[in-house]
Amino acid sequence: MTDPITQTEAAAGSVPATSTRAVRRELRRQLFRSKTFIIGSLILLFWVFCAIAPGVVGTHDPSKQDPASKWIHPFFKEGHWLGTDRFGRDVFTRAIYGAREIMIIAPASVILGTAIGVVLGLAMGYFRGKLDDIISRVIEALMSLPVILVALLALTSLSGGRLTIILLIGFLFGPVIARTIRAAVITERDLDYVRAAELRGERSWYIMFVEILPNVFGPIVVEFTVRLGYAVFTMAGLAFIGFGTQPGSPDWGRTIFEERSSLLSDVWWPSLVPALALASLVVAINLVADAVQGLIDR
Amino acid sequence: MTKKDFRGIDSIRSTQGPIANHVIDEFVAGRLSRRAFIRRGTIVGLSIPTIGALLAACGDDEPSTDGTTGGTTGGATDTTTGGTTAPVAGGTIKAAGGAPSAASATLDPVLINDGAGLTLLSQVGQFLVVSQSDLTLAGSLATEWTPNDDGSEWTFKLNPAATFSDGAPVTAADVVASIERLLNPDNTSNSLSAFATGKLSPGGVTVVDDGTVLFTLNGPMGNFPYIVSSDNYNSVILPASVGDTTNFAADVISGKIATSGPWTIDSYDATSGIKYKPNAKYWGTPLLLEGLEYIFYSDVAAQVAAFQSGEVDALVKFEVSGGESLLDNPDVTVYELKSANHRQIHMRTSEGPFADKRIRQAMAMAVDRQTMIDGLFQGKASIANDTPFFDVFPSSGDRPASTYDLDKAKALVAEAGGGFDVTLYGINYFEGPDLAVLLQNAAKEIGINLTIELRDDYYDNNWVRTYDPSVPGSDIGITDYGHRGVPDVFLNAPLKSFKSVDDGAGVWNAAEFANADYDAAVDTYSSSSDLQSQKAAAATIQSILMDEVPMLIPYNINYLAATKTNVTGVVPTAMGHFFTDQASKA
Amino acid sequence: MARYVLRRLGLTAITLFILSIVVFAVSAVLPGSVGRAILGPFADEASVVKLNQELGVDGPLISRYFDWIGGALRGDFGNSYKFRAPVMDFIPTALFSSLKLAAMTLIIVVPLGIIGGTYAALRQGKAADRFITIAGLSLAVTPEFVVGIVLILVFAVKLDWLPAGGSARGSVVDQIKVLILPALTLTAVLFGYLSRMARAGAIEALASDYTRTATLKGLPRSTVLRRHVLRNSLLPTIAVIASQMSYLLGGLLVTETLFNYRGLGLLISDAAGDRDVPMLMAAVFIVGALAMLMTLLADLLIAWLNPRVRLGGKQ
Repeated sequence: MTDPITQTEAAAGSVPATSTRAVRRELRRQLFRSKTFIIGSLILLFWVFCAIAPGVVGTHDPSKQDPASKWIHPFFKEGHWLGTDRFGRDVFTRAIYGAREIMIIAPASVILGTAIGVVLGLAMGYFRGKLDDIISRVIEALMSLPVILVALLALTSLSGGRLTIILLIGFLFGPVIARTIRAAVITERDLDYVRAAELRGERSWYIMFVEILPNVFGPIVVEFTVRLGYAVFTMAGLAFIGFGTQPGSPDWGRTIFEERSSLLSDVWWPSLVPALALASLVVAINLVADAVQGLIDR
Repeated sequence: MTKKDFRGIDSIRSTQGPIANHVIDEFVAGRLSRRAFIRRGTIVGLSIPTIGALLAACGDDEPSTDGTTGGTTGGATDTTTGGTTAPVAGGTIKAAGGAPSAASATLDPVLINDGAGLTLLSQVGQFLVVSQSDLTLAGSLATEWTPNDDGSEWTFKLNPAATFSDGAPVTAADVVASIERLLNPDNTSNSLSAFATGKLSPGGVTVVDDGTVLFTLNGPMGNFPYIVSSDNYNSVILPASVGDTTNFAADVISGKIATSGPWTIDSYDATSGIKYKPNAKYWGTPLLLEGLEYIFYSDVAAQVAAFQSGEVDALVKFEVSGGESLLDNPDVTVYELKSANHRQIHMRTSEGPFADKRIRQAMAMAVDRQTMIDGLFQGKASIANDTPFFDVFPSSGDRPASTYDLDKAKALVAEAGGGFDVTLYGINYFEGPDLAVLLQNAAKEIGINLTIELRDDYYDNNWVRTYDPSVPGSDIGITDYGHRGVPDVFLNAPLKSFKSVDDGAGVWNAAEFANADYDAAVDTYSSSSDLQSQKAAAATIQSILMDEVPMLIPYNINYLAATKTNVTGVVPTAMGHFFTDQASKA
Repeated sequence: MARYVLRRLGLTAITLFILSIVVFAVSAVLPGSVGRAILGPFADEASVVKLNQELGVDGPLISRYFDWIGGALRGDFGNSYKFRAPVMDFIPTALFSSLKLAAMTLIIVVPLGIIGGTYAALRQGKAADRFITIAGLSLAVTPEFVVGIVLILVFAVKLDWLPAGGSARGSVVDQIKVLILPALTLTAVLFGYLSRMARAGAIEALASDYTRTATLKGLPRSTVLRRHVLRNSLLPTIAVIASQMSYLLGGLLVTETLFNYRGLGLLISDAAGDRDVPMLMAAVFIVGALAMLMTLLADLLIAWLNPRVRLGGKQ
């Protein structure tokens, strides 16, 4: 599990602000024409659809167990085109139904993280001084600890349910996002329009949220899309230490974890199919993020 | 049984006490099966030759157990697949197992409380008696044991050949010191509850002479020898001079503590593994192997992979789930033992949605046990009927079967007021998660919606309220119970009415079951040495439990171990011991 | 430069102090009684209470903190509740194991990542670039235990070329054999991210005036590549490695479990489950401190390589 904020990323956080509406419209048009964006969005939309209406795509009941049909090979039998798992459940259907947990938790946790990151980043970047120094040190201390250990410790004290994961990932990503936002805010705060607002006597929170915030939208969007990919990935890893969904759920992380020993018996499909689904989702998110970032950097 | 040699039988009877004679009479009268007789016989102290003679006198030609006195092992194991090779000297066996728990980390015999710890300890330490894979008892440090007339006093004769690794003989004084150390409440031994069931209190162990020990119990206890057998895995015998066992492993390595077993410890790293070397002064049959090594694994997949790729020769224990590649494999010898290992799915009887016994009965009828066993263990388990009288115990009564009847179950639920939602707690390891899913599916059929919540702190918060009345406990939960040689503990701790923490009864009673008739029947069962009244008590117990259903016990899981085919002679037990003193590796 | 170094050292010291408080606070609020965790669920309550008293798990927080910190500064982190021996009997071995695995991983993944990223930058937009990026991403996203088991299945079980796990002991060759598969697993995890960063740096360098000038001047491509492009793709790579150190030292729980490799990740996870507070605090703190140190070293290295940073430009 990796946590990708770096010196360079932070240093390169300064991003040109887009100002006029016409420019934005032009950018949007270019977005819809980029191949990476289209492919990424299509895959993403497919999974969103599966999360909303899995019954339409899935062919079986994802929880019906049928011990007699254990470990049928893919393409071997009619109706189970990706095979069955150790309880005779259809692998394809479970992969479809498994999208829901991730599609709920990942965006929720990243929204939370972004909210935290924006507030912290704005405060740190605008006020600088002691506040910035102290919070920066605390963030540095927290980030020197590996994600999975923090999760482990959290798990000993809290339940492993949905809310905990959302809070955990949100609070873990918040500081990381804050650093990028902070860098962007620092660039902005020396600009004229901020100086003008200060001279006008506007209050600090007004300057931060009304004046500066719209102008750092670019990095916020980029961070959001990038973190979304990492949230998906982190969730799968947390399943290993017992976080997340309860047994029997078709959640991808859970399924991959439960079926991992099957690989040693040469039964690869119950764990590799959801792994592929996971990979496709993250790749899709990253394609979209790349396309958006590419345009904003222009 | 054809012709009986009554004179022969009589001459044997005259050498035995009333309890042993009772067992003999039952067998002769045909009220005891052969298997039960052999087992009962070894419990009450009939020696193997005596049992053999009695069987012969009753016209029975088959050999009895292959138990041997002296040495730690004995008994046959069921082996499947793989060939066997003639025993060869030399070689080192590398075994994979779990790491010892926190209590067992220093291999302190007083505190050891888990499978890994007991496996490691029993390589170097020995017991008075060994409980074998067919649950018969064989002598180890003891050769003979006899009860008094009502089973409240037991006399054990020690093996005169037995010595510790420093050459000193194993004497009664050593036994007294070792057992009293375990009985001392200040030492907080893991075995306290076992001794409570065995009705042995501090001061109850005394020296008769150098080679004889007397156990004076608080009351009659027909199965007492199990309490000083390998089943009570803390009860290894150490020299009387040993004071503090807190750093047992280190002290054995340095020679400060002498032990009597075939192996002694060469090196030990509590995080990664242990290496044994032969005890140069071992008093029993010399070892064939020259070395034994355990490597600790925390993950099933890693263990199986290591075994498959040849880093280890043996898996001390493995589960079907994850170990499928080892079954039906020509390079693997799989050991499968019936065991008393089980899961208890308690349903709170004192309050909550399960307080109405019709609901509990419905749950029992909604569970298709055979399908469960096939799905979870590929059939490698026995069906249990929600009582502690398991297949593996040569039972003292008939075992009524549980019924699987969805229609009746639904009707009962409707009668009792309809379905409801409830949270199922339990263990999140072994097959706990899979079992929870199966229960969820079964309960759904009859209108009960289980939300699964399996957590690491299940035992702290959602199990019993005995130790901390403020924890919530649970209306329904899954608990894992390991193997024992006799059902007494299972009858006692989880099901008897709870009185106080100091009294062993009901301390694990998560179902909060409080039934006076049940308590009385259990008391009769435990104290009677009269097999007829034991049988009657067992029948009463079973009918109460199957009517009240404070818990579901759907199955007993067969114990599985595996070795490469070039390893022979290992004797695993359902308890988790992995005896290697007659093992060899080609 | 000297002032920069001193300033960074000072800041790091403060952060270390904050880290110690965080670690202590978290360990202090771990639920469940220590005695119960050690003796197990079936032990009787009187024993648990007695053990808790013996271990001294109660007492005012502040004084316990200062006791701990005071000892820590002397290198004495107390005794493990589980092993009844000094914590420092166990941590150095685990740490050394983790360092070996981290080193092996970096030896493989850093050259691979830089070469992969630079190559992708040179072929920017073309098929090779897309392939490297997507392959890296897909691998990075696949859980470690999947990649690991596949590697074990192929190389240890089927081909029997390498051991399926174990600790790194014995001859150098034996140790390398044990380390390869887990290192490859981690390489799969890190490659995607590393190559992306190297690629970004290389693209920036290729587009810069410096490169254009050098090429126009007639310098051979390989020299330009070596001197400028590679150097530029090195900077973000160093930053990435530093940011991954906490993961590489203490976050490898999954990989260590799968390969039964006794590193710090397993040690910490066991300590958490056993409520072995002294072990937990010491190990977590050491991981955090080392990660911070690595970040500091990386920052200094970047500063030295990149004059812009050193002279205090926009950071």
